[in-house]
Amino acid sequence: MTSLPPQRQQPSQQRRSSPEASSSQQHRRSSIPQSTTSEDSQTVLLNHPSSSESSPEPEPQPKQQARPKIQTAESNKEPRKCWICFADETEDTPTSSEWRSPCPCSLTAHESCLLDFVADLEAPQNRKSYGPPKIECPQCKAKITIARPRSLIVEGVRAVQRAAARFILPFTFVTLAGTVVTGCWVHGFSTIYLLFGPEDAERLLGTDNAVGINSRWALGLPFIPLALIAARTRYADNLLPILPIFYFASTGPQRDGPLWPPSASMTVAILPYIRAAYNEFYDRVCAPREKAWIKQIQPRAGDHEGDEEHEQNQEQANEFEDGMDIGLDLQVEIVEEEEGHEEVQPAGNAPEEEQGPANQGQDRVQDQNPNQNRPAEGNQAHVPNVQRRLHHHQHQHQHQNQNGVQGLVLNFFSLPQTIMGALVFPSISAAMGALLQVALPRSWTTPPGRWDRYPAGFLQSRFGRSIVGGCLFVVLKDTLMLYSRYRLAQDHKRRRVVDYDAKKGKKAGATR
Amino acid sequence: MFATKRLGKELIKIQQSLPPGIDFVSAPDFKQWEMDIRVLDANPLYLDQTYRLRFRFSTNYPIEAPEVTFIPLSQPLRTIPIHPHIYSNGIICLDLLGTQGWSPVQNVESVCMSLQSMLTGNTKNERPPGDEDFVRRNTQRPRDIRFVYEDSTV
Repeated sequence: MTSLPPQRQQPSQQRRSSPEASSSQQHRRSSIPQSTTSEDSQTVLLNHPSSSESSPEPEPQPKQQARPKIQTAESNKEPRKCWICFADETEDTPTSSEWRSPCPCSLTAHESCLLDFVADLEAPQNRKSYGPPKIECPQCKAKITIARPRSLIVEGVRAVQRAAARFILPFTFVTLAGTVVTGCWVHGFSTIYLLFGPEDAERLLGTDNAVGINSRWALGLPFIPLALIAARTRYADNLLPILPIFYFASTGPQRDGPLWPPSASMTVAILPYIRAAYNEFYDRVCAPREKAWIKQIQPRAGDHEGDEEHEQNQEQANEFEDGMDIGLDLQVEIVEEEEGHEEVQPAGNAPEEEQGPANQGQDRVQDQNPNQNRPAEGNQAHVPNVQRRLHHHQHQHQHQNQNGVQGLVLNFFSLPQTIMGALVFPSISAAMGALLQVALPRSWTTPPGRWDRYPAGFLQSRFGRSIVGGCLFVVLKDTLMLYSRYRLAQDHKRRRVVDYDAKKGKKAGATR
Repeated sequence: MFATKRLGKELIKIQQSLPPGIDFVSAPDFKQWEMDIRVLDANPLYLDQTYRLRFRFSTNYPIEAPEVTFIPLSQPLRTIPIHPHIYSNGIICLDLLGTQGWSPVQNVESVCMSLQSMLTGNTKNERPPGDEDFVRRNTQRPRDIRFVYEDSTV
């Protein structure tokens, strides 16, 4: 008639996974030593009147499974007891529902109690996942099978609901992807309009015949921004010159029209070669100087010996600037033309000899790198950068006058900037083209009338102006970049440390 | 009806015998009961302390879990035990008492024993993280709070 010590472990057995299980077992081990042998048994102990007091041996007794309970019957044959409502067989009334034993363990219950339990498990607010709820015996974790009339409609609705829940994620992805594609499409569309102007664009895209854009363009437009971005990577250097060959191979024979001014597609096909030529020019002429100027503002690169703090400040500034420059330089390398050669030449006039400064600068930096790694920790972030550039030159080209900046892979810092530059570039080109139209003499930019004597020119189409404008922009920007580098290198020699001003009581940092 | 019948059975059992460290206090009706628990071993955190538990039962008990909290009292002195899963307003974060962890095999006695062993196994003299904030803001009933049961060590 008493509740016995070994019964105390039942909660932990029933709830093997619950947090308290392990600790409660530990506790019992220390606090109730007399029941140690049955401690870890997963078998439910029974409060059999004769044996449980002394013997720790678990004794299977089906009816007594659930709880420590009052021994209402001293006999071996005990009435079944519902583990849900705790009523036993003796209390059954004619209206009580039937007894069920749904699982291998000895838990039995009224059918109506079980059905309540199952309904609670199935209630939507109690469920964690979208799948069908797990209906299992809380004691032995065996699945409780429920036979129910099948309704095709109900099951169909459930299946649809589950499927809908499962499709949320894929649907989100599809929507996002669709948004991106649409965005690319719109960008491509506006690019065509910007570069060619409304009339030519409509003729090209076929929007004037009211059936919408012809399908070839509809597929191709989204690739315009992608191609713009791809053209910024250095892989494009290898790939781009090949593409025009396909163009010439496919359209060459049918081309009628005069050779000058070149058609729009012809111009586009030639651009990669112009780009390659400009890059080559830049590498040979401008890059070495640029390199030298960059070296000059490295710490201890010149004759200048500043104090430690000064140098670090300066270097941090340089690092930041370099990062910016790389990003900008990558934007540059897309288009250029012959006039670039004359345009840039004046900017790169500072050093007398082309090879000299670059060679010296590089050697010097190579010597310094081991030293720089040691003294200041702040340097470490920057130094590998320089080294990587140097490696790149020596391994890939063996030409010391190669431009390190050009070869740089897109790094994390410049990626968003590069993409932005690529996407905005058509607009810039169009704007430059519009400027050209204003700036240039009228006869250059208006198509010749039937009676005019001057010949048709490249700049007379909006497309031509846009292309030339874009090239001009690239060249101007490079020039500006080079000039600022040059200025920076020059000013570097003239910087000085400002003395502490006692009157103002504030410390002035390093200035140029 | 359902709950009443079952609670009646539990009450008969409880009034006859209870495990050591668990005492029946009052059961004025079948909606709210009070129990006392104390830790049996010499855990210094809870030594010589008795704690008052309040059980509230819904009409769906035992299908639904009871709401179990520690309550403070001045006479006799009852405090809220310090434990990383017990907030200072007496709300207990235990999966057993949540919708997911509860099952009808549990009963008042087994809940008391689980809480007893939860205290026994604890060595941390601390409240749950964010206790102050939770106590100040919480207006929900314990069983509506979405606890995340992640700690299986305590």
